[in-house]
Amino acid sequence: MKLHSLTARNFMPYKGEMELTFPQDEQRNVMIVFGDNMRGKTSILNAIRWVFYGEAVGRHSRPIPLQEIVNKDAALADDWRVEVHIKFDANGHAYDLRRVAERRQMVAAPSKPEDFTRSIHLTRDGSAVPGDQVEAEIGLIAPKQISRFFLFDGELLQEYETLLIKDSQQGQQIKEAIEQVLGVPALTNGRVDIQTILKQAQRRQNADLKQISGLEKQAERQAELTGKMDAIDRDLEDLDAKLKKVREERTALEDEVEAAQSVIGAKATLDAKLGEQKALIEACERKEAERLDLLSKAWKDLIDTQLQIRRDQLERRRKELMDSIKKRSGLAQKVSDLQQLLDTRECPTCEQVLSDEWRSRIGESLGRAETELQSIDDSSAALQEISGQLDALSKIRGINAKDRLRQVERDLQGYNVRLTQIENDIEKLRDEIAGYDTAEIARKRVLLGEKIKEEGRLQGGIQDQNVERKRLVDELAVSQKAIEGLTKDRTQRSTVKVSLCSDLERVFSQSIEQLRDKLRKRVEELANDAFRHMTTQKSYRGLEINDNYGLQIIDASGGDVAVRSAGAEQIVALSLIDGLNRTGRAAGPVIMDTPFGRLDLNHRDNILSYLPSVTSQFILLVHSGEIRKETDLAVIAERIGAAYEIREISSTQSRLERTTL
Amino acid sequence: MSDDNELGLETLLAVKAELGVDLDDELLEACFELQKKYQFNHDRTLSTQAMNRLIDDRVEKVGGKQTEDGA
Repeated sequence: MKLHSLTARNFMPYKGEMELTFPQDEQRNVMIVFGDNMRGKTSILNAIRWVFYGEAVGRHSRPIPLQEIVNKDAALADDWRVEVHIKFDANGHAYDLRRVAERRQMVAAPSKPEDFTRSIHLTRDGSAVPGDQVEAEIGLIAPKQISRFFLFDGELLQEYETLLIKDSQQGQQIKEAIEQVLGVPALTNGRVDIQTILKQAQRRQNADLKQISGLEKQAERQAELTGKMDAIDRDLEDLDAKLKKVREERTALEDEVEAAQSVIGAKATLDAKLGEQKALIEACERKEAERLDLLSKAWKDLIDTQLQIRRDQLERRRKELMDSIKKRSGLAQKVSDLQQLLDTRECPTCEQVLSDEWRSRIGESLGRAETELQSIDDSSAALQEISGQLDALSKIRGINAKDRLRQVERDLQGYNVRLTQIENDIEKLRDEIAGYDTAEIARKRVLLGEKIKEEGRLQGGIQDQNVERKRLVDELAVSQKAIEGLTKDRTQRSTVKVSLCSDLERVFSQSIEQLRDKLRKRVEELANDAFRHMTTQKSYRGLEINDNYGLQIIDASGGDVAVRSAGAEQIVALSLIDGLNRTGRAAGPVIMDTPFGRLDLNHRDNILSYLPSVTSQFILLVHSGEIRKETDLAVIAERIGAAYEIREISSTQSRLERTTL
Repeated sequence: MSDDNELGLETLLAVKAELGVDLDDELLEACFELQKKYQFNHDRTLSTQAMNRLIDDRVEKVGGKQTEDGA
């Protein structure tokens, strides 16, 4: 299969017409569409999905309602026609497929899918395919069941990881989807069809036996066994229907609980933000008080210079007074000592009598000292007063209010910015959790647990009924052999038919498991081939497949690699997808949306080198974080046949432009 | 679909030989082709009817005797 062109009108962010031309050269079969997140990469994938299967899917593979598919700006301009047209060839035929949805007459603004009329047109080699055969024809070319492998959404990668979880419900569902891709239904459905025909033939045979005298006993036995078989089939049908319903309910509950988990997370974040908001408000109040306090004391800075001058003057004066007191004290001591010398008339050191001449000199010195002492006032009182003044002045110090106020203002500003951010976050979080009831979430969790148990019980019941059915089939086969041994009935048409159907049923039944084994082996071989090309860890021995088609990495010593990095998981998932893609169908186009999310550069280069060689066309929808067109495309530069860029026109509109690299 | 899909037919023929069942290869092949064609159809009516016709034709060829009210 090869895609030629895709044209879309008013499809999601693409108002008016959008066109993509796919590369046709086998050597240049890579097409890259660059677009940042929310610009419309997935919408291209959805346009292809919609034109083929009439559905577009959003996150978690949920269908997008038709009214949401129409470009918002076009809808505002009252243009509700959405259309996608794709040209491709497959199995030697040229196809032209067009799907259109239009607002119904009398509907002003569609609010539900039923408000649209839908039509689909398919031509094969220029001739129209009748309307009732279009879907069957598409089913033959590109069955919807296999679309997940060629319309590949990066989000799906995680799904494949669940295949490694033994007995996981999701793993079972994916396994069923994989087996559909691989063509197992050809045998499982064949068995069901043959069983239906066999039962009818057995009833016919029973009626025939009753008409032949002597075979009434066999007829009775056959009737009893087929009656039991009918009852078991009815029970199985009933159990299957119940299981399907319970699965649907369980899936819906899982979605709701998953959504609720994010609400619970949002609530915890909200509580933390509210706590932070309270702490910030308190911090703001403290800073505000500090600011007011600084303002009330700022006058001190204004007089601080003057006060300092006065303080310096007083300090100097105090020093002078202290010097004076010291000097006065020294003089008083001198006067006293001299007076004593004159009084005793004797030298205190050598105890000799002082001569008159000496006494006269001492008398002069005493006179001078007394004169000087009298000239120095007693300054003790003045010193005390000055010390008191200095004490008082030292209490009136400057507080550096300017710098401190500036810092407080800065702090306050920072707190207010953070507060605004938090208030915005709080508002968003409140919107997010609005309408959720935590009691309801708890109730749904319990319901989900019950549904899982019920699913297990139903599966057990189905298993038991199948065992019983197999026992009845064996008994019927024995009974049939007995009838075939009777000459009277051997040539009866109904007996021949029962015999033929029984043989076919045995062959189909026993082939199913064998086919599964062969397919698993084939997928394993091809996935290993892909893995060896894409992994950068060359010491790994390869991959090993399990019953669910989950792939386990085997290390050099033959053991399981228990802990795999996110990148390794992605490589394994891509290997599985490639293995599945190449098992059961010829190389076709593969369109990958955001596939490189968790990969390092070497792995990404390996993928870019490998996948174009195993696909008819390799179309990559990537954002600038995954591939930078200026630097990252060297490994496939020669294989790129077309490149496009999605340009943002507005939040509701994008435009696709061809670009060069 | 490529040759890999013929694994289904290969398997049917191998199992037939293994079981020693007296079935014509042509019938098995026809049944498989028919099931392959209808494998993705949810409504099994068409495929069951077509299978029934195939089996009736084979019964006819084998020469099963018709009962009075037909079968």
